[in-house]
Amino acid sequence: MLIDVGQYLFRVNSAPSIVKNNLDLMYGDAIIEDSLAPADFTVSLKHDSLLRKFLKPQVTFYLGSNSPFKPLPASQSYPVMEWGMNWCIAATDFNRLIVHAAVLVKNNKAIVFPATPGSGKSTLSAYFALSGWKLYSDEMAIIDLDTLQVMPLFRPVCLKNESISLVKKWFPQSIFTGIAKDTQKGDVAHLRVNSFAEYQTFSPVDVVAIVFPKYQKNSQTEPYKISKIAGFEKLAGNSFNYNILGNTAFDTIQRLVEQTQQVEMNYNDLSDVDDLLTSEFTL
Amino acid sequence: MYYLENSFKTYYPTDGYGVAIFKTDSRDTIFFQGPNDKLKKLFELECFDLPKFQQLIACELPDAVQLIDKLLLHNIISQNKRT
Repeated sequence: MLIDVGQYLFRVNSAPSIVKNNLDLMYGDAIIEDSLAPADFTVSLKHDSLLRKFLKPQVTFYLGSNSPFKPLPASQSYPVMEWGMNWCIAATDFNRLIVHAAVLVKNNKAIVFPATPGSGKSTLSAYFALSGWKLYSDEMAIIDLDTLQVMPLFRPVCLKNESISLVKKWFPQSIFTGIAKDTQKGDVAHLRVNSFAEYQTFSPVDVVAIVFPKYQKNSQTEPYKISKIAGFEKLAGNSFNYNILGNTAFDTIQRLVEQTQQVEMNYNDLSDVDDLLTSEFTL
Repeated sequence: MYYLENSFKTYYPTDGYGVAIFKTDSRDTIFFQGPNDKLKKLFELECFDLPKFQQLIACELPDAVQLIDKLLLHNIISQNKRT
């Protein structure tokens, strides 16, 4: 099974049937069966021993023959596969700046939401993606080092805990995997927000703003500009490959910070955020 | 006297505040807060002493000593003239 996630091709060599079913549900037409095309990553999810297939079953994620993580309970198989795929990109792509962030696009202008703790990034991604925005990524902003444009990825949104029921309530028709209970991130489910055909209409776009959201119950939606040096520090801190790219990353973030606005924003109501971002950045 | 090393590059944001310093040897990035026209003057010098540093940064002596310690720690300045 070959999965085209846009910028990368993943070959899934072996995986439990529940994982394959969820991959079908999340990636649909992006899956190419029986292809011999060269993949960027060859991954698999396996039981390490026959014993561990039946007694407190566990699975291990492999990139080729290497396993970057410890085995995890088989009940978490699908999140393990998605997290493994994230790791493959974050740990090996040194040709673009990769920032731990969600990317949402409206009228061909991208806003990057770095993943600061308590940001509610995934809930925000799901809400916006199902409300007319284009989701370029829920997990990582892939930024071209020359053009500074952000590239689209075709991946599901990873929702956690209360966000799952919240999004199901807001969008009852949405397509979810089952819930994996008690993972290291709590209860987790993945959400498909686009078809592959819709995704194929997405193209690289310019970033207009870096927004650091913070969910605060009962707060007013309130944006305030931060200094460029603070924006630089936060972006560098959220970049997966800043230290590897070194000098190039320093120059890239410098240009990105100068080209965009940096805003911190407390929010409670996501529809207010939509209105505010649309007017603030003339989207 | 304190001497500036040459193994770093700087970014002075156009909003006039702060400087980011990238150490090309260690790949560390260090951030200094403050109006960056003054910081720029400091980093254009070849060497400076404590009174000159205080005059440029306009801070109290204990803060100046602390900032100089930070610059020394990250090898942005040294007390030995480059050969």
